[in-house]
Amino acid sequence: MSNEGTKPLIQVDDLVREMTDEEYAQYLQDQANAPAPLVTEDE
Amino acid sequence: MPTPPTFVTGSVLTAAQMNTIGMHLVKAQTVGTGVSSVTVTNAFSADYDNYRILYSGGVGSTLISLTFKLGSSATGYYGITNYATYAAATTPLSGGDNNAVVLNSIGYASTSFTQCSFDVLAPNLARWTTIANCSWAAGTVAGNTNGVHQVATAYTDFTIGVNTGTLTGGTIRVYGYRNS
Repeated sequence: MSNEGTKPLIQVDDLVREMTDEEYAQYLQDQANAPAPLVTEDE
Repeated sequence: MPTPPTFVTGSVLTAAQMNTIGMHLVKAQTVGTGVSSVTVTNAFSADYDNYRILYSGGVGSTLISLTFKLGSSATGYYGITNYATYAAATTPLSGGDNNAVVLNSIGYASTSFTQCSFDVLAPNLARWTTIANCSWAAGTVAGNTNGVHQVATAYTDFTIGVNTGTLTGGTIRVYGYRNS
Protein backbone atom coordinates (compact mmCIF):
# COMPACT_ATOMS: atom_id res chain seq x y z
CA MET A 1 0.00 0.00 0.00
CA SER A 2 1.31 3.41 -0.88
CA ASN A 3 1.80 6.11 1.73
CA GLU A 4 1.58 8.78 -0.96
CA GLY A 5 0.35 12.02 0.52
CA THR A 6 0.71 10.89 4.12
CA LYS A 7 4.44 10.90 4.72
CA PRO A 8 6.03 13.68 6.79
CA LEU A 9 7.82 16.59 5.21
CA ILE A 10 11.55 17.02 5.38
CA GLN A 11 13.67 19.98 4.41
CA VAL A 12 17.04 19.99 2.67
CA ASP A 13 18.31 23.56 2.49
CA ASP A 14 15.41 25.47 0.89
CA LEU A 15 13.70 22.39 -0.59
CA VAL A 16 10.75 20.98 1.38
CA ARG A 17 9.46 17.62 0.20
CA GLU A 18 7.79 14.44 1.38
CA MET A 19 9.97 11.65 2.63
CA THR A 20 10.73 8.86 0.21
CA ASP A 21 9.53 5.38 1.14
CA GLU A 22 13.02 4.53 2.36
CA GLU A 23 13.28 7.72 4.42
CA TYR A 24 9.83 7.11 5.87
CA ALA A 25 10.74 3.58 6.93
CA GLN A 26 13.86 4.91 8.65
CA TYR A 27 11.82 7.72 10.23
CA LEU A 28 9.34 5.25 11.71
CA GLN A 29 12.18 3.15 13.06
CA ASP A 30 13.86 6.19 14.56
CA GLN A 31 10.59 7.34 16.10
CA ALA A 32 10.06 3.93 17.67
CA ASN A 33 13.50 4.09 19.25
CA ALA A 34 13.50 7.76 20.18
CA PRO A 35 13.62 8.54 23.88
CA ALA A 36 10.77 10.51 25.37
CA PRO A 37 11.35 14.20 25.97
CA LEU A 38 12.83 15.01 29.32
CA VAL A 39 9.97 17.39 29.98
CA THR A 40 6.45 16.12 30.45
CA GLU A 41 4.38 19.19 29.83
CA ASP A 42 4.50 22.32 27.77
CA GLU A 43 4.84 25.75 29.40
CA MET B 1 44.43 52.94 13.08
CA PRO B 2 41.38 51.42 14.77
CA THR B 3 41.83 48.28 16.77
CA PRO B 4 39.09 45.64 16.66
CA PRO B 5 36.52 45.45 18.08
CA THR B 6 36.40 49.25 18.34
CA PHE B 7 35.97 51.06 15.05
CA VAL B 8 35.13 54.61 14.11
CA THR B 9 33.13 55.98 11.24
CA GLY B 10 35.16 55.88 8.06
CA SER B 11 37.72 53.43 9.40
CA VAL B 12 39.75 51.65 6.75
CA LEU B 13 40.12 48.04 7.78
CA THR B 14 43.21 46.16 6.73
CA ALA B 15 43.35 42.48 5.92
CA ALA B 16 45.31 41.93 9.11
CA GLN B 17 42.56 43.55 11.12
CA MET B 18 39.80 41.66 9.35
CA ASN B 19 41.70 38.43 9.92
CA THR B 20 41.45 38.93 13.66
CA ILE B 21 37.67 38.51 13.55
CA GLY B 22 37.07 35.30 15.42
CA MET B 23 33.70 34.11 14.18
CA HIS B 24 31.95 34.21 10.82
CA LEU B 25 28.40 33.42 9.78
CA VAL B 26 28.75 30.44 7.45
CA LYS B 27 25.12 29.76 6.66
CA ALA B 28 21.64 30.86 7.70
CA GLN B 29 18.83 28.47 6.86
CA THR B 30 15.20 29.49 7.21
CA VAL B 31 13.06 26.60 8.39
CA GLY B 32 9.90 25.82 6.43
CA THR B 33 6.43 24.87 7.59
CA GLY B 34 5.61 21.55 9.23
CA VAL B 35 8.91 19.80 8.61
CA SER B 36 10.15 16.88 10.65
CA SER B 37 13.81 17.53 9.91
CA VAL B 38 16.03 20.18 8.39
CA THR B 39 19.24 19.22 6.64
CA VAL B 40 21.79 21.98 6.18
CA THR B 41 24.25 21.12 3.44
CA ASN B 42 27.78 22.44 2.97
CA ALA B 43 27.86 23.86 6.47
CA PHE B 44 31.23 22.35 7.37
CA SER B 45 34.40 22.77 5.34
CA ALA B 46 38.15 23.01 5.61
CA ASP B 47 37.76 26.74 6.27
CA TYR B 48 37.02 26.12 9.96
CA ASP B 49 37.72 23.31 12.39
CA ASN B 50 34.98 24.28 14.86
CA TYR B 51 31.45 25.66 14.61
CA ARG B 52 28.54 26.98 16.62
CA ILE B 53 24.96 26.22 15.63
CA LEU B 54 21.90 28.16 16.81
CA TYR B 55 18.23 27.54 16.09
CA SER B 56 15.71 30.11 17.28
CA GLY B 57 12.59 31.95 16.22
CA GLY B 58 10.47 28.95 15.24
CA VAL B 59 7.82 26.83 16.93
CA GLY B 60 7.04 23.16 17.28
CA SER B 61 3.73 21.43 16.67
CA THR B 62 3.98 20.00 20.18
CA LEU B 63 6.63 19.49 22.82
CA ILE B 64 9.66 18.30 20.88
CA SER B 65 13.15 17.15 21.78
CA LEU B 66 15.55 18.10 18.99
CA THR B 67 18.16 15.72 17.60
CA PHE B 68 21.43 16.12 15.71
CA LYS B 69 22.87 13.97 12.96
CA LEU B 70 26.06 14.34 10.91
CA GLY B 71 25.67 13.66 7.19
CA SER B 72 23.73 10.42 6.80
CA SER B 73 25.53 8.69 9.66
CA ALA B 74 23.02 6.81 11.83
CA THR B 75 25.31 5.20 14.38
CA GLY B 76 27.91 5.99 16.99
CA TYR B 77 26.30 8.84 18.90
CA TYR B 78 27.08 8.94 22.60
CA GLY B 79 25.95 11.66 24.96
CA ILE B 80 24.88 12.66 28.42
CA THR B 81 22.18 15.16 29.32
CA ASN B 82 22.13 16.67 32.78
CA TYR B 83 19.08 18.65 33.76
CA ALA B 84 16.76 19.65 36.56
CA THR B 85 13.20 20.82 36.88
CA TYR B 86 12.50 24.41 37.76
CA ALA B 87 10.25 23.24 40.59
CA ALA B 88 12.98 21.09 42.15
CA ALA B 89 16.12 22.72 40.91
CA THR B 90 18.38 21.02 43.42
CA THR B 91 17.54 17.51 42.25
CA PRO B 92 19.91 16.53 39.43
CA LEU B 93 18.53 14.30 36.69
CA SER B 94 20.18 12.81 33.66
CA GLY B 95 19.64 10.87 30.45
CA GLY B 96 22.00 9.47 27.87
CA ASP B 97 22.68 8.12 24.39
CA ASN B 98 24.73 4.95 24.08
CA ASN B 99 25.60 4.28 20.43
CA ALA B 100 22.36 5.95 19.33
CA VAL B 101 21.25 6.70 15.75
CA VAL B 102 21.24 10.45 16.54
CA LEU B 103 22.39 12.67 19.37
CA ASN B 104 19.25 13.36 21.37
CA SER B 105 18.20 16.32 23.51
CA ILE B 106 20.35 18.93 21.77
CA GLY B 107 17.52 21.43 22.15
CA TYR B 108 13.81 21.84 22.55
CA ALA B 109 10.78 23.14 20.74
CA SER B 110 7.23 23.79 21.84
CA THR B 111 4.28 25.71 20.48
CA SER B 112 6.01 28.79 21.90
CA PHE B 113 9.66 28.48 20.87
CA THR B 114 12.53 26.60 19.32
CA GLN B 115 15.90 26.59 20.98
CA CYS B 116 19.27 25.02 20.58
CA SER B 117 22.78 26.42 20.84
CA PHE B 118 25.86 24.24 20.71
CA ASP B 119 29.44 23.86 19.49
CA VAL B 120 30.46 21.21 16.97
CA LEU B 121 34.17 20.43 17.06
CA ALA B 122 36.02 19.01 14.06
CA PRO B 123 33.06 17.81 11.96
CA ASN B 124 34.98 18.27 8.70
CA LEU B 125 38.06 16.42 9.93
CA ALA B 126 38.42 12.65 9.71
CA ARG B 127 38.19 12.45 13.48
CA TRP B 128 35.48 11.87 16.04
CA THR B 129 33.19 14.90 16.24
CA THR B 130 32.25 16.29 19.63
CA ILE B 131 29.19 18.34 20.49
CA ALA B 132 29.85 20.64 23.43
CA ASN B 133 28.26 23.46 25.40
CA CYS B 134 24.81 22.41 24.30
CA SER B 135 22.64 24.34 26.71
CA TRP B 136 18.87 24.44 26.53
CA ALA B 137 15.83 25.51 28.50
CA ALA B 138 12.38 24.02 27.98
CA GLY B 139 8.98 24.51 29.54
CA THR B 140 9.60 22.83 32.87
CA VAL B 141 13.28 21.84 32.83
CA ALA B 142 16.64 23.19 31.74
CA GLY B 143 19.95 21.46 31.25
CA ASN B 144 22.86 20.74 29.02
CA THR B 145 23.97 17.99 26.70
CA ASN B 146 27.46 16.95 25.66
CA GLY B 147 28.17 14.20 23.19
CA VAL B 148 30.53 12.57 20.76
CA HIS B 149 30.06 10.94 17.38
CA GLN B 150 32.52 8.08 17.43
CA VAL B 151 33.01 7.78 13.68
CA ALA B 152 36.24 9.17 12.21
CA THR B 153 34.75 10.63 9.05
CA ALA B 154 34.65 14.19 7.67
CA TYR B 155 31.17 15.64 7.13
CA THR B 156 29.85 18.68 5.31
CA ASP B 157 26.15 18.41 6.23
CA PHE B 158 24.07 18.08 9.37
CA THR B 159 20.42 17.53 10.21
CA ILE B 160 18.31 18.92 13.02
CA GLY B 161 15.52 16.42 13.65
CA VAL B 162 12.69 15.80 16.10
CA ASN B 163 11.66 13.00 18.41
CA THR B 164 8.05 13.69 17.43
CA GLY B 165 5.95 16.36 15.73
CA THR B 166 7.16 19.00 13.31
CA LEU B 167 8.95 22.33 13.22
CA THR B 168 7.83 25.56 11.63
CA GLY B 169 9.82 28.70 11.03
CA GLY B 170 12.82 30.22 12.64
CA THR B 171 16.39 30.19 11.42
CA ILE B 172 19.26 27.78 11.85
CA ARG B 173 22.49 29.73 11.86
CA VAL B 174 25.95 28.18 11.54
CA TYR B 175 29.01 30.11 12.64
CA GLY B 176 32.61 29.11 12.07
CA TYR B 177 35.33 29.80 14.63
CA ARG B 178 38.41 31.19 12.95
CA ASN B 179 41.30 28.70 13.14
CA SER B 180 44.11 31.25 13.52
